[in-house]
Amino acid sequence: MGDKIDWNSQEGLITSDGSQSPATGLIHEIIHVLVNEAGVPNEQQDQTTILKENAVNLQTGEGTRRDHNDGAVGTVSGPTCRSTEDGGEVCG
Amino acid sequence: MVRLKYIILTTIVLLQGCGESGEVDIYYDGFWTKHRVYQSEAQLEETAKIKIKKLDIKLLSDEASTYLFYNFGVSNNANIPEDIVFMALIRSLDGKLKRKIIGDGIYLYDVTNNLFKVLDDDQKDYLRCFFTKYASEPVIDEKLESHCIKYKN
Repeated sequence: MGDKIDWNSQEGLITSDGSQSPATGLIHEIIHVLVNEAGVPNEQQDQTTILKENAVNLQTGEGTRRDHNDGAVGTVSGPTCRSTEDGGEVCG
Repeated sequence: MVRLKYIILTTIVLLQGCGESGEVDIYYDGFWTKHRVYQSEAQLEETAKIKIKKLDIKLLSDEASTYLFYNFGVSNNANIPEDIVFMALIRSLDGKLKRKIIGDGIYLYDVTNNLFKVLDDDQKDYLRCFFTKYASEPVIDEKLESHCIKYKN
């Protein structure tokens, strides 16, 4: 039936290193699909996805993730917005 | 010795199997589903795409019963599921929890007996169609409905 991505455009993430926008969440899911299609064994897919996602995070300046379970979901107002340490958010 | 342990444990599971009366609650979010951050059992219970409540175990097809409840075994390499996309709670008719099985995209884990199994894609596909059929609330997905016609007699 093919891969399908469900994406919440207001779902941000607070990681151990900083915060992430919903856009990064979409990138994360796209990477998952690509990693699966590349034939990476199931047991290695999560870690491979995080490694690749972190490469993107280093370029965008968003928070990296220690592993696939690093992060707590939080609502932000738009796809390019992310939480700031003072409880606000920055967008764009 | 390990093999003997496997045989004994498998026998125990088969003997206590699900041939008797009882009910099962099933929470299913997709065997191929991955979440941005791992999903807990509590989160699955709350937001599962498919919920089946108090299904009489006798209504399970032979295939569904076999795939879900039998042929679990000891595995030293398997990891206990972290991103929970499946949970089955098997209860006796008086409501007492008899067996609990959780699953991620790779393993089914029998929490009660500390045993594992791996479903292949065909088995996962059969089960998702079976769950769709018995969902407590109708699943509105025409593509899936069309896909699952092949399993209807």
